[in-house]
Amino acid sequence: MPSRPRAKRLSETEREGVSLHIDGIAVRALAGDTVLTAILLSTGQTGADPFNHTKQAGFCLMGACQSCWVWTAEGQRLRACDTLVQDGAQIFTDGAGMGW
Amino acid sequence: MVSGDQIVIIGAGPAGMEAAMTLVKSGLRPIVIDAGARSGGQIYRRPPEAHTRCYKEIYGADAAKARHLHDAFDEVCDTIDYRPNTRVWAVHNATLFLEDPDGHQTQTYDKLILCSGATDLVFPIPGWETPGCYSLGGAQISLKSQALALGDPIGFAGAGPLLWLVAWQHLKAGAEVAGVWCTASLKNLAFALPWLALRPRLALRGVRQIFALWRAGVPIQFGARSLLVTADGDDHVTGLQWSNGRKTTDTPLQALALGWHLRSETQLSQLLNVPGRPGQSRPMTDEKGRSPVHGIYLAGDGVEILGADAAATGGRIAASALLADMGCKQTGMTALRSVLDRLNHARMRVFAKGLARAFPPPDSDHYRAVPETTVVCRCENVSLATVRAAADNWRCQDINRIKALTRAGMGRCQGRYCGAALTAIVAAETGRATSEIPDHRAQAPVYPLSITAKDH
Repeated sequence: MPSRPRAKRLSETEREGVSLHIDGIAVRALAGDTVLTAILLSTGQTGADPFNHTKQAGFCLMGACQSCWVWTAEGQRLRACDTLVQDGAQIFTDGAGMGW
Repeated sequence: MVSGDQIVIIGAGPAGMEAAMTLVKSGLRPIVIDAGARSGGQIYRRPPEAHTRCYKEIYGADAAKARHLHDAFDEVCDTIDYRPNTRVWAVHNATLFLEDPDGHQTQTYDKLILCSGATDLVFPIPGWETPGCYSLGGAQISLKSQALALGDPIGFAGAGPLLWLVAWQHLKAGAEVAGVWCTASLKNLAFALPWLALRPRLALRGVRQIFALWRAGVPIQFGARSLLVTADGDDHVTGLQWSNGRKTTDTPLQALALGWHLRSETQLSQLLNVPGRPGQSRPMTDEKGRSPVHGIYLAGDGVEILGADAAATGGRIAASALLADMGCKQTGMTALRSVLDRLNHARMRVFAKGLARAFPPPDSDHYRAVPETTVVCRCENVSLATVRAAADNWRCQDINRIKALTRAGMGRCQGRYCGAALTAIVAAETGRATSEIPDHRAQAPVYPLSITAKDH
């Protein structure tokens, strides 16, 4: 399924750059971005919903709805909306894609 | 004054921050537990440190208030035990169960001030499960904390003061706003004016926001109905279909933010055995924030949706009550302030009644009009038809029963975003008032926990 950005930066584009991978795709983000921000500006989705198999892209952005959990390469799960990007991070939106 | 009692404040929004500062003034050193990375809560949320926008840009007319609150709290931060990035996922036997970035730990308390805040009150419309639909609060957070518009253009639908505020904030920040669809009518708003006049500056600010949106050429529709989100095959929102009662229109947009004001976060107060007010989904307290459970105090939007100003006064009132109950000597200033705060609170309560009149949530007619295939529970993909059938076939008068039968409300959000809709549907099906339908029973953990959570 083709993925594409959803969101748009309005300002504060002068921040330091951060490089990470989302589902194996190299993504440039900025320091102070959340993982969800990086996703919404690049691949645009946080993985399939287990019941209706549609993609997710966050909903509440305040850690309440729990629809933006993603995986790290180490197998740790984290909420994309309240985790900041880190240089070199490997994020997977789907545990299955990691061979789990 | 020094006391051996361990005081814990949960939440670092305006209520929790003010409560903490009030206790510090009497020489106490509470623990403040904050799920956020930086104090401020949602309305005064601070962007991550790498961000550089000034207060005026982020908080607009509330810039001075936000700065004052942040600065004042930062000043006492060294004298208290402030714990950011820490979530309370259960409470049992005067012990809080916490998850922080290092793992899992517990914290006992003698006295607790719970300032759990609120989340968006959202009602389902067809297609709202499409990625690209967000809560109004979510859209505001992305704007404030990330300088990000969730769609280009983005639309806003629902009712309540947040609808106009968030749309206006997007306009000011340079986002393209596709439109604002208010499900309440202008008539609702007109009838509420006598109540809203009690806080004239705030009411006027709202009117100015609506006017500014209109002047900027943003399409505004009062009394919008039959809202429906359209999407493409790639799970992207493509537009909003809506009706003004006469004709149906499709407006293209890439994201939609939805909200009908707010609802209290009551999971922890339930786990603390604080009873709900009869017929209302909010915890019981006296006028000073004391709950019927010994040593438990509550303040802010987690008790009653009155907004940030009332949350701040509520935090001071509850802390003042706690000090009085502990026999602490309060400064004359603190005591006087508590009396003034309570008077102010009464005024804000009447104003909130006005808001409820101006922007009523969808009534049972709404559910008669929406298609049966509409998803009610986003997490578990449960349709209106399924919920209705359960309510009819099993004579369900309780959304907890509906949860057991259909899985609606059983998913990751634990009913935060479908509970109000389920209540309205069951009320409509059984011909009762929504106030007669009991809320979802809270269960620990109140958030999903990371599988790597471990003891320190």
